[in-house]
Amino acid sequence: METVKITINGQEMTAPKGELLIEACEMNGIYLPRFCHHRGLTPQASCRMCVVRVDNPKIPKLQTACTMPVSDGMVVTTDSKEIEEVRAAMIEFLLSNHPVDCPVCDRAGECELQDQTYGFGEDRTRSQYADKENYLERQISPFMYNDPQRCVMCKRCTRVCEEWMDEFAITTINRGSATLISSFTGWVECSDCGNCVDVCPTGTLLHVPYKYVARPWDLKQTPTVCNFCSDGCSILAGTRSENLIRAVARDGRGRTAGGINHDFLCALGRYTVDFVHSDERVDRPMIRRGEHLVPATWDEALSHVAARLGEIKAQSGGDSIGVISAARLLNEDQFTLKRFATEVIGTKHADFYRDDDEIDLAAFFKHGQPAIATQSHIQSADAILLVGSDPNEENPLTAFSIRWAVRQKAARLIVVNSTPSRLERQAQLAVRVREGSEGALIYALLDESKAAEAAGAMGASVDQIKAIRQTLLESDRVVVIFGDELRGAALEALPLLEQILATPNADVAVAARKAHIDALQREVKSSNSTQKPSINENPYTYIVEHPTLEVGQDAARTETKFSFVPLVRYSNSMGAWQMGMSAAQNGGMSAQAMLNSSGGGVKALIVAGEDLIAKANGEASIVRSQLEKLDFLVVQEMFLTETAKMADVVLPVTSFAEAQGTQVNNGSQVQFVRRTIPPVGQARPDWMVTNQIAKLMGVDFGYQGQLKNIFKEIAEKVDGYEGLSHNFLANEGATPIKRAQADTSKIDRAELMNRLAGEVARVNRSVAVDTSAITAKAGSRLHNRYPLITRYSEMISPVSPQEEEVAAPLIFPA
Amino acid sequence: MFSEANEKKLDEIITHYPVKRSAVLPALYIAQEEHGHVTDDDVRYIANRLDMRVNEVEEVVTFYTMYSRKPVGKYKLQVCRTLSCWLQGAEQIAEQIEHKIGCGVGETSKDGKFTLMEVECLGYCDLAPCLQVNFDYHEKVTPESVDKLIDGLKTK
Ligand code: SF4
Ligand code: SF4
Ligand code: SF4
Ligand code: FES
Repeated sequence: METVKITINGQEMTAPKGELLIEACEMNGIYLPRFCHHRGLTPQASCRMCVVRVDNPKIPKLQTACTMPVSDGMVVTTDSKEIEEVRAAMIEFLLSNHPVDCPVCDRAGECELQDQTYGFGEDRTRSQYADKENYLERQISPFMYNDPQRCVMCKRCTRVCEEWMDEFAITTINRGSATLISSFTGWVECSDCGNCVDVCPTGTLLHVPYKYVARPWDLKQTPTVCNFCSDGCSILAGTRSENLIRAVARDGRGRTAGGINHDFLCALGRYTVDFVHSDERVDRPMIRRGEHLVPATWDEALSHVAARLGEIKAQSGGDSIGVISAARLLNEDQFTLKRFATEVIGTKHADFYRDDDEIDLAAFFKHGQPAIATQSHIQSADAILLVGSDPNEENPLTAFSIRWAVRQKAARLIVVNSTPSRLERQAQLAVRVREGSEGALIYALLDESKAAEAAGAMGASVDQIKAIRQTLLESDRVVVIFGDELRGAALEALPLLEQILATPNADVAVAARKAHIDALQREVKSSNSTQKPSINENPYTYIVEHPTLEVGQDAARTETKFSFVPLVRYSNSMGAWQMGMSAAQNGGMSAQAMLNSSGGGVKALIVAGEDLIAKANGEASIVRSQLEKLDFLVVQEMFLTETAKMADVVLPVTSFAEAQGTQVNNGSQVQFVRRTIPPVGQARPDWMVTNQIAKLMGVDFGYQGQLKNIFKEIAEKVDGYEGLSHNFLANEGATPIKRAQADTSKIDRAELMNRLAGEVARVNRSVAVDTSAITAKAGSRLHNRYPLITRYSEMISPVSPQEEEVAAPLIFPA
Repeated sequence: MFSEANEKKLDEIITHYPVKRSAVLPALYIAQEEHGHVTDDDVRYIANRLDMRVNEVEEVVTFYTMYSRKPVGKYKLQVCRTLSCWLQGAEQIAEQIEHKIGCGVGETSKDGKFTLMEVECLGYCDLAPCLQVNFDYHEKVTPESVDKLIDGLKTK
């Protein structure tokens, strides 16, 4: 990292070259007050709180530190009578129309306006209460309250909505002192991410579920990891009296959990945590007596399970028992289950449940682990190729990172998909292809001569394929993000991209990038651009050479040019794979196959955390009849799911908020999940349940009932976990799990290309390319995936607005 | 959504600008001319025509005082309340008008003829106080001259 020397208040300091002065000061321990500045947003410079004096005759006026990049030899004063006066005046202005109703404001105690007034304001005001504009506080979306009088017009909220979410759902209405944050109809239709509320420095925007629920100083905040998608955002879980009250990415004081998501969360991670306190949680073990499941003690239930499994094993052998886990269970749970299957039951049928339309990790990892990209790699990529899936709907953090890379760092985005995605709006090239033909792209990338054949299969043009190839070839850091649309040979062939599309030399990459940035800047600046700029449909794109998301960081990069993000579906799909809890690794039947042979080869199933019936969608009745054929079904669950209702024994287990352990995201980073509340009812963690059944069946795993001992064993035995411990992970945050790199020399290329050719040939060319423009809200597919959980969040079912409130979107003047 | 003539006008106006969205101000005038004020449908329609988001159009309409988002009277009386006019008695002018048309600032008179508004600087400081009636300026107004003016408009 290149640094420069600057002098602040007479002291010499260093700062990364090009860093914004406000951040440079902060890195050196000098905090400058601010409202509009936010390290994750483009500069706004509207609040004038960060003013400093730069000692340079050419800059005679006070300057905003949030827009000024540092340069070598810069001499700055941040602390003088003049500056103090300006700050105090700004505070007085801001408060002149503010109700100062802190006693009834949810933000009080973690409000930047309070803090800055305390720190930099004066204890008097010249404004009269009667002169204040006043708008009543009102609900503006299912999740959001708006109290316009408290607003300081920093526009962090509108920028977040536009830049992070690509929504533009809220904006400033009116002008002068009547300005307020609102929207076209007054009712906000959006992705409900709540990020605008989190970044608001005041109590203007408020979370509906948290309204008048707790005072911030009564909350205990624990950093932990979200459990809903494979991105693995960190959340600050706020609890009071052992109740989980809220989840935020960033609290009002700007504290975060220090996770890979910085200040970002999606609606699911933020607003559905209340499911853990649902009345419908299974709170005690249950055993089937005839038609009914009746409550039992843990001892009864566990001995019953141990006895029945023992019998079945003795009668029909270990392989008559199958073990299925949910991909959201933590590493420790998966690892213990895997040991249980092999050592206690003696079965090879152990598998984590994989949806039909989910990436086949076995094929992807067939030749070793290709370089996996994390969110920071995406954020600093030169080119991003998105094939299949829709991160905007499935992996909202990944979608955020893609937007970030495009908007702030001029990455070139290519989207190849058979369904519409909002991310197409940011793409330099968006190609809609025939469903099921995505693999053909890989075919054409690996062999240029096949472009025409691939284009035919995809329903795309040869020129488009050539353009994609060219972009990838001349880019320096390429991240390939893909969904289950890549399968079989196309998936196995991904590691080959590295050799075939190697950049000819470094100059080519530098020149290509420069040309791209120049073109963008021309487009953004020139009023002659007739079409929307390719970077984004928004013409105000602002390219920040030194974006501030990671303050003073060098851009992250992998050792290889190409790196990959497999958009696996569940929060610990990757971990379950690493723990060896998959049929492909165990040489046994997959979860689906186990179901198919239930009543035949498979007599009993242990299902940890998966609702097989709900997952079967249209085929629920088939799965139901398959489960009926079993002699014995044990279900470890939080809720009485359809599957649990058919069980012989139901064992209540903990949710992510009550459990502790580790999980691995789609960037192959292991993270520590912390317990934030004690177990609800009699719930026990999955690993503990498995451990106890094992003991009753005569096998002691030697964990002495201690979670950390399981991880100790994982660290010894699992590839990539050497040297890790719970303590380390609790302090370090997301840590990459590196495993043996894919050895491309071992791949039989001719055979692979042959198979790929076969796949391309099989594409059904009579399918029409979907050209529809419908673009769903962020995280929508994700929501649908958790029907049981989201049901408990009352906030997911929108509170419809009062008729008259919507009709009057507060407009001035008449 | 506009009359055929106005559609044509808009098509033509769009060609004046290198970027479509730049036509938003004239487009809004067309809408207002046709519907009396800018309706919800106008906002949606213009956003659609100019490749903008509805919120961007809404931002613009509500920012400028020459656009109305709600029905207004035939004559929009805009009294400047910025410093020069204020020092020269803009307040009395507004009061006089209120008295004359029988409604307050931000309101429309019962007969639907007048809407009274207070606006920021109209750029007539040297001829303060200033009153704008639709697109016409009336400088150095007095309570008496305003009275006459309104009487005249009433009969028009
Ligand atoms: S909740 Fe998210 S999408 Fe909705 S207005 Fe706020 S930032 Fe925009
Ligand atoms: S609502 Fe909050 S974030 Fe938005 S402009 Fe007002 S103070 Fe800033
Ligand atoms: S993006 Fe994924 S990990 Fe992040 S909050 Fe949403 S569901 Fe959770
Ligand atoms: S923080 Fe610099 S102007 Fe607001």
